[in-house]
Amino acid sequence: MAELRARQRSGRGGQAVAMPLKSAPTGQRKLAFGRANRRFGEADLVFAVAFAGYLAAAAYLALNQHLLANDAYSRIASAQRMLFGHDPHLAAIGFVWSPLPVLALLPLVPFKWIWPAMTTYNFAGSLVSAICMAGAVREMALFLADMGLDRLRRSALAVAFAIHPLVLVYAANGMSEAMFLLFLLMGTRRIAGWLRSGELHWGMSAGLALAAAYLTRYEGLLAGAAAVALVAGAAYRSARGTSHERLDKALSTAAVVGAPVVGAFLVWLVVSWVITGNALEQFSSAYGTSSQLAAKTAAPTVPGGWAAYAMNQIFVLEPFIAILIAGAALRAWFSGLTPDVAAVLLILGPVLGFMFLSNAASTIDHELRYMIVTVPLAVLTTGTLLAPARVAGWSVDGWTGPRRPWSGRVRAGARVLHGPVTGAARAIRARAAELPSLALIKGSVLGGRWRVGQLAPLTAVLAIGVALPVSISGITSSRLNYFDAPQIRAIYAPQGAAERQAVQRYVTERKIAADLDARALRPGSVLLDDFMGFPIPINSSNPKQFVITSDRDFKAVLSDPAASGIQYVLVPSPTDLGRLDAVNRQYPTLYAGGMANAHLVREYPDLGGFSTWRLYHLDPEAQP
Amino acid sequence: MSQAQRRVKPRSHTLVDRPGKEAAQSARPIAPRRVRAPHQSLGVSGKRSRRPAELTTQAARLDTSVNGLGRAFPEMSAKRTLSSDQRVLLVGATVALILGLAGCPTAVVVGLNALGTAVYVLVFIYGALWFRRMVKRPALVTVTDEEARAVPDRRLPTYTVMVAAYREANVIGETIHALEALEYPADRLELRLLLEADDHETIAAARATPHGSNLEIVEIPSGGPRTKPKACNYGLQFTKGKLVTIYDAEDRPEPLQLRRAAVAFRRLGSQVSCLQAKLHYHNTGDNLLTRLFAAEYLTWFDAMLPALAGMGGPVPLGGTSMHIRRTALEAVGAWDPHNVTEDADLGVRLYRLGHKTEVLDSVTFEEANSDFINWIKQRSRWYKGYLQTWLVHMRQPVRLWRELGPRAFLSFNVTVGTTPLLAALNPVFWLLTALWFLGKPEFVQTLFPAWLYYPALACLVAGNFLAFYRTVVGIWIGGRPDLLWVVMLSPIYWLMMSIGAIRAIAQLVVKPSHWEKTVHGLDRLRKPELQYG
Repeated sequence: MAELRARQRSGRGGQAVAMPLKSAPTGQRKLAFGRANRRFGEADLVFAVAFAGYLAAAAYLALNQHLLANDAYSRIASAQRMLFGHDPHLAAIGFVWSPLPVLALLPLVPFKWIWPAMTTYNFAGSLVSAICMAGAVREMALFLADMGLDRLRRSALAVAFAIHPLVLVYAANGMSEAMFLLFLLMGTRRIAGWLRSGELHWGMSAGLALAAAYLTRYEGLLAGAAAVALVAGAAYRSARGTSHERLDKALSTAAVVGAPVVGAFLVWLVVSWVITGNALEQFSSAYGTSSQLAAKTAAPTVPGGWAAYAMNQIFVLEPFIAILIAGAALRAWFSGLTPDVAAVLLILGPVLGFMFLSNAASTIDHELRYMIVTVPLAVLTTGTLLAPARVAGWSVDGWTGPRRPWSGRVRAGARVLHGPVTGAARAIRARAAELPSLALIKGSVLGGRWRVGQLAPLTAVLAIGVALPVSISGITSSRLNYFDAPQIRAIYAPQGAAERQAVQRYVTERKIAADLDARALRPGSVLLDDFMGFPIPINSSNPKQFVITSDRDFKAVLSDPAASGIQYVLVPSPTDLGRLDAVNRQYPTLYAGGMANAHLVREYPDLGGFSTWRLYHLDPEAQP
Repeated sequence: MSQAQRRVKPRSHTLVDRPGKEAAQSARPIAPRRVRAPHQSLGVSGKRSRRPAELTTQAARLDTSVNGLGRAFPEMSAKRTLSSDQRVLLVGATVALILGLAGCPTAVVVGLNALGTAVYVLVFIYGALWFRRMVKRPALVTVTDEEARAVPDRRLPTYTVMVAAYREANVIGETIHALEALEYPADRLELRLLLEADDHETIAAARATPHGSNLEIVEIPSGGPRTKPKACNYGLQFTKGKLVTIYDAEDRPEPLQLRRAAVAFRRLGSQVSCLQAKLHYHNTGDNLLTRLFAAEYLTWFDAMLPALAGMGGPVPLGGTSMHIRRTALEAVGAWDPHNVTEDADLGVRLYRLGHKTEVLDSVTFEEANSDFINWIKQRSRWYKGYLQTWLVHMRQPVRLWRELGPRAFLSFNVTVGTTPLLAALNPVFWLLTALWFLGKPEFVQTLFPAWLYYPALACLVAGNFLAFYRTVVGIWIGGRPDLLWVVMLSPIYWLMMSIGAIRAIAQLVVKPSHWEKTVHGLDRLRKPELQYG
């Protein structure tokens, strides 16, 4: 009202001069918007540079080296059969894996008619993963800027994330890791933003991002649950009133983040149930993870057990992660938990923890990529350590001013032990000053009081930088990255047996597709379970000739192929995952000895490390 | 302006006919006076015999309050529900539909289904943008207590507060107390109770309640529709305040509301002519229905309405606590006595004629309808009124498009037109979904060919989620986290809305201007009273 009074004094009534049209938001809100706007150019630049780099890497891997990731290839096959084939329909998406990575491919699939490599070399998948990982790098840069890091530090860390070998590979090879990291980082950053600013839109968009993370990878559900618990806790802590009222506030806050996640979970559950008759298809399908694990020949063991192995995988990606996390935790203990530390440690932490436990318990494959969340966790933790100290005291209703963390009471108690403690601390300081590797903790924990603390940024960036060469050894190691390492090694050393197999992945299937295409068959003449055979239709220029698993008449055709117009049957060798093949399950003897009305046309020996295939011709006259 | 003059200038933008000197004198100057004797109330006096001049005046005023809008803007009056063009269109569409159904029923039904789905998709997209705005750019106009009190009395504009009540003898005393609790200088505030002349009980009760000299009773003569807007139009002619607002008898406005509005109007400048205060319920805890109702109101007034105002579209006003500049109110022809949601209609008319509306961060507490049947009646009236408003303003859609621009045109159609229509259509789609889940009957598959099935399914899932999530966020914004469990029961409420919508459409055909009374006072277990509201 100052303006109003001024006007009254000056004797001018009537028309307002230049007064704000709307109620002005609080200072913090204004600041947050302003900052976001100022960073717009920088964020765009980050995205553009990262995308250009990833796209180049993707083109090199897919088009030049023909190195194709298996799951990504299977996704492009799903996308294709939803649009083109004997019986295209949306339900052909498959319900074993999350839907979003496949849905993202749909708009790109039709370009195969202009440029076949879009699908045959899965450039569509590479394009999507490059876009997503560039988006993840952008989120990373924005998050680091939100934390208050200056340009030099946030650039250094964002680059360290962007060129981490594992990130680089999965940005280029079309796998779903990129999309998962994108949504995970979006969610985490927005939760931190909500706790920092109290602006509701952060919380809502965090919920949507985490729902998308769930629809990308099932472990996203865990991140969603962790985020919900975090905001509920923060709301409870800052709410006023009786414990009942505070609980109401916590639940209502949890619902803002949780509703999209729960909604996504339920929708996928119901869709899965409606279409396959099984709500939890991914867990119990004949092709699901547990069946796959069971079908594999006896699970290998490693010396020291899988827990140690998983720990190894984490440390090879980020050797200093434990120290970084300990540093962040210590700093939080002494100077208060900030929204950034809380979001990073309490949302990304549980995801990594869950993957570690699953890996240790062998409920998932022991692939290195499942540990990819290690990388953003380490980089963001470093970011929180380098961030200027902020006053703790945060809630979903906005910054609540100085507030001692729960460690305050502990510190009050510790004051009794003041003398002995400070004496010991002095001694530790004196020792620690001589140890450069501890400079990080010293600098971050005790802030500006330590002169050596100025070394902290350098040490932290070094800690992250060291990870780059170390993790190269990790991702090319057959021991730690057994599934994908040969493929990566094939880039620079394609001589070994495993490497040759990686280069020749899908060569067998390409050959089968080419042979069948040459026969110019009418639609619906080749019976194929595309669980293992997915590379065949995707390499065919006539995908309509195949009757595949997702076709609505598959069961009928399978039970009586000859009568259904089938001329050829493709069957993989009934070993390992080949035992899950529907044709093998229906006709267990077909592969080995043929049947009365079927004669072997040709055997295609396994070059890519998947399976040998046999092509049978059905004689329509003879009865099986 | 006399009747003769009016005939010469039928499109004048003034509502209030000034019926001559007598009227000017009887409209009291705003000045502190001693407490009036009961028989001295304005309008129809208690005396048995009236002078002919007085009768003429009253008849002229009544005529103005009933027909004023129809004369000033004939095309914007809901006196006739459908214009002749609309009638022709409706008959033509019905005939075409019947012929189509006879000829190729499948194609026609699938076509209708596609049309419905397209509307749903459009509404969903608009709803998503609206929702985004609602969380990202809250646009409530906030005036702090200090700011509100900082303005010296003499700088405040004169204010008119009108309360239309009918058969409210039991609560009118409390109404008077609530009005007198308003923190506004008495010499700048005129309080007017608009009571129906034949409602002797309420008039007697009001007179029996001691009150300040600035509160006066206006007796509304019978004639024309017996609706709140008619009463307000009539009452408006006895007042002079530069700012005007109306309350219901049950309302408990926040005492600083008028000051806040006055300060906000000054701050916002002449572009903004109307401020809608937030409406909340004081009896939320009565039962499940009042809780559901409260969650809806919170979402609407605390979150959606400010966002709508910010997005730049017509704002359907709430029935009470809208504060309007008198100049604007008179220029647009005041309330439409034939429209049963005169508030929504007024909001649209204000926007069409170039007046902006914002939402003021100040609460008026109302009584939530706690009885199912009563609630359905009230909801049908609202939906009927929305349909009336939609039909009235869509009489010349091209002209409306030109006046509003594409954005506000879409906004108007989504907020006013599709709200009742989709509420009525929802059960059809829910039923189809349920049928499909239960037995996958053949005809459902015929109705939804693949190209229609997926958008419809996506819309069903995303649209219902949006509606639900919006309420989750709405109660958070409104600061009522305890209502979360009630929000989980939203589908029950949606079903009730659908019942109301179907009833509204039926009523629109049978008796368009009938004002279905809402029983108030159930919260205190009094004998149910009838009133407008």
